[in-house]
Amino acid sequence: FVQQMSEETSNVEMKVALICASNQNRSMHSHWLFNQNQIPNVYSYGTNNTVKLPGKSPERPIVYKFGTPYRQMHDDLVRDNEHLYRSKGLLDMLQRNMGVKIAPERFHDTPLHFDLIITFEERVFDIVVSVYQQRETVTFEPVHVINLNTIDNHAQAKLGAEDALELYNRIVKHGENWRDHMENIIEDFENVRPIVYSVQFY
Amino acid sequence: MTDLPGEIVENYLIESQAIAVKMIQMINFLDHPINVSILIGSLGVISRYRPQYLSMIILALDKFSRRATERYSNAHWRSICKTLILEMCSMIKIPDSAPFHGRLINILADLGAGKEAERIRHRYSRTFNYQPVGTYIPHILDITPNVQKQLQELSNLPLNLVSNIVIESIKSHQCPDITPVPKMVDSGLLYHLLSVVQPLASLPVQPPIPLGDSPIVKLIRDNPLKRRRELEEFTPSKKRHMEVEISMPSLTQEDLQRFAVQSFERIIKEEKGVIKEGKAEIRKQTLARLAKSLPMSGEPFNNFIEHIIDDIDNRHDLALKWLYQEWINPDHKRYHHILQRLITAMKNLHLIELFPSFLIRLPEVTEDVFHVIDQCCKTPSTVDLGLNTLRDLITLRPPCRNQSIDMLLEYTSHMESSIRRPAIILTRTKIYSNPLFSDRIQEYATNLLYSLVTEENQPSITHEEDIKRRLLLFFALCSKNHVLLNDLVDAYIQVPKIVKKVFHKQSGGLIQTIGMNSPELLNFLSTFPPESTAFVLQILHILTEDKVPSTELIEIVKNIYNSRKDDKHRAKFIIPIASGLEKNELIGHLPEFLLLPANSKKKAIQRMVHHKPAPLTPSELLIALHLIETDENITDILVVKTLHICYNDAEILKPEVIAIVLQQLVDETPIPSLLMYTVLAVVKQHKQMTGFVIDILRRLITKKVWDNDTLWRGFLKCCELLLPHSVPVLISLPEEAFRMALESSPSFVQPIRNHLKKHSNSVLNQSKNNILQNLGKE
Repeated sequence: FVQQMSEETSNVEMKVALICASNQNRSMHSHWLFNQNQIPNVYSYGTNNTVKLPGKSPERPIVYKFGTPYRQMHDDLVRDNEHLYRSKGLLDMLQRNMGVKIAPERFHDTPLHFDLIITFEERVFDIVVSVYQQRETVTFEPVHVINLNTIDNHAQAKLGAEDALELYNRIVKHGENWRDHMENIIEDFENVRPIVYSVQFY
Repeated sequence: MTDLPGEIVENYLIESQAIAVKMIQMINFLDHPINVSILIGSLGVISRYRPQYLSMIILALDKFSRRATERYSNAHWRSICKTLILEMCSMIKIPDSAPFHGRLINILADLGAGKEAERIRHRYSRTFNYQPVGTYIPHILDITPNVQKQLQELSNLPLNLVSNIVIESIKSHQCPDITPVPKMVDSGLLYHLLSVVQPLASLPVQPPIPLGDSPIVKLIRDNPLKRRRELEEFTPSKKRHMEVEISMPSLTQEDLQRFAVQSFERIIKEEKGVIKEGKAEIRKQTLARLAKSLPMSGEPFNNFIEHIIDDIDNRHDLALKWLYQEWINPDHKRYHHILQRLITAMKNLHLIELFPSFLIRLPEVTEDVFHVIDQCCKTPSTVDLGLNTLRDLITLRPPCRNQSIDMLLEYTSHMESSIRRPAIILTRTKIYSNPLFSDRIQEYATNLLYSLVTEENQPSITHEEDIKRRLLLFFALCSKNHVLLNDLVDAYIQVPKIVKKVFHKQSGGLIQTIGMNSPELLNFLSTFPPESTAFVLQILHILTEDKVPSTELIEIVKNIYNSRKDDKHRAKFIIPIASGLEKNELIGHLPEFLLLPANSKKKAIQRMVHHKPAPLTPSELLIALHLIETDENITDILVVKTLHICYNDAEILKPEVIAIVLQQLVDETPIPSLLMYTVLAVVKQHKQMTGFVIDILRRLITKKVWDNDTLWRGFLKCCELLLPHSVPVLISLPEEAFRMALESSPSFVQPIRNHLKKHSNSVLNQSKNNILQNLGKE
């Protein structure tokens, strides 16, 4: 799923953040996909307090602190029960994540200012918006927060990532003044996937 | 130091109210869905910071949410709905919104978020544990003979109000078709009445209502006390409209004072309850205005200040309102006093975030404030508090800017480094980059710097700390603005030697920050004044410490080198860039290095073989040294001295290194005359190399070592040191050489004789024996 970007849009400098709960599956799949398409200034985060991976039973997930390297998680799982986790697809996922960045990051801790944030779950969307609500507005730079509801499994994450990429490309097509066209972009995107958006300020 | 006159403050407050109202009404007129959702977000912000508008906002949102479904397409309505829900849920969390919870939850339920809303409200109402301070429920119609006592119980209400209540209740007592005031006045009503107190308090006392001619009225007029009792027993007729004259018993000035003070104190105590009812703003305004009339020396005044200081984190807003009220009065004595006490308390509590933000919002920042800040900055434990405050004053409060910057600059040149350092860091990182201030800062720093350049009459500054304090600000600015380097060096040239030393000592960090890629630095290096050579050399050394020099740097340095044909020490410039040169090139400079003073030579050797990365291996260096062509300047002794320096370094005098060196050198033609010096050095240091050295000695024999005087002497010395292992070597010498050896060193004789005795069979030895015997005879 590689798209060629036209020459005009290569000037648009947009910082994008892709956010899900644990910065493992949905946001990382998108991050990886965006990297594949040579999109610059892409970042990904999680909003939970800790990173959770499905463990042997649903009540006992494997918990890590944000900042623990994917490599370490991968090696721990291999040591614990390689066959089980490989069949769940976790090892492949962690391997892919390792190739994108070192460790999961928490959204609350980043000082960066983004232009576009894509979240993959409504709860995550709520948390992101509440982060901005609690902060005092200083520079008044706007950020568009857009939610694409995606179920947290591998297949859906792939579809979610593709839709996120589609949305990004549609926005970037408009060049410098993409914000003026957001109303229509959102309107048209309804056919691809229903979304919810909000505009927040730094 | 006044910034804003009272009227402007008042006008501003009124205008911002108007803006807020306009914004709230705007929601009905916007069409663009994204702008609508931004506006809803803004209304949420207003509700958080100005809860007095909550009712207006909620009303507007209610109306909007009912009508908006049709206006926007599905895609946008979903998001607007979501924004509404998020903002209103956050409104439930605001303490002042308690009275509106019901309404909010209804709206949210209509939007489909009822459960969520209930959950939040439940969670947040539990945080309010409200116990009323005391229940003052005056039984207004309870009239006892002791009027004073009664009035004391009524004293939580101002006099006018009491009179109005009494009139109302009597009226309703007579005419039930008018909505009655309940017999017991509850706290809700009290607070509601309190909210209308403010305008009423300024009104004059109502004139008594004109009398009618009814017998009741006559009764009242004649006998005050009696009148009232009879009034109670009187059963009202539904149709009668009664006019009543009420005359309150007279109260002394002290009583009035006392009631006022007590009511004031009750309002202070009822903080939590008032917040829960959503009237926090009104309470603050009331307290602020009432406090204006408290005498400064009195207890209530002090109690109020204590009350604020007790929980200053939550009550600073109250303090500000009060200060604004006090400031409107042109005689600012009270303002000064209150401010002084508050900021001293904040300073003692070390409230590092609150202190600056409080000061910024003051109507006037007085000299006292600056005095307190000054105290903070000069005490190491509160330096951070003081500097934070100065930073905020500089960036966020323009009228205070100049004074604050001047104070800050003074601290950057303070003698105490614990004060000076954070001040310089603050200036450099946050203030200097702002174009509004950079000129002023630069001017100050430049003056400081040039104060070190002594005129003829001025005594020179000798104390190191004093020198440092004038320099370090300029250094810090230079690290951000590299072009200042030129001024720095210009000053360097003119300062006395003792100051130059400090320059050298302190410049490490600066140069490393600038780095070798800075265009201004490279420019400077291309054009530096010759008097600053020592400094430039140090700069080069710091730049290239453990780093490979960049090609630009190498080129510039080579240019410097080439332009100084008459300088016999110009090789000093090559040393720092040694690791960037080709081996052959570097070896070509070796002769020049030899002519440098010992210090520089050591540095050169260090750079050549110990640097990371090292351009030469130790063996390469040694071999090159041995092979140097000597002339009138580069004498053997010079080379020997250099070799000596090398061999003091254990890393160079390693067996493996020397082995390589010696192997290569013996193969040279002609053999370098200093070879034996090296051999001797190794022999003395590493006994384990004896075998190897013996080998070398043998090789030397094949190359006719006796033809070279220096080598021959060294050879013999070596053999001496290595007795008896060197005997076979000596025996293998040709006859003539053998004899010469025996003649020069008597110590050889005995060991050789012993050896020959043992191996008397060999033919080779026969001739040697002869020589030996001949020698003995002579």
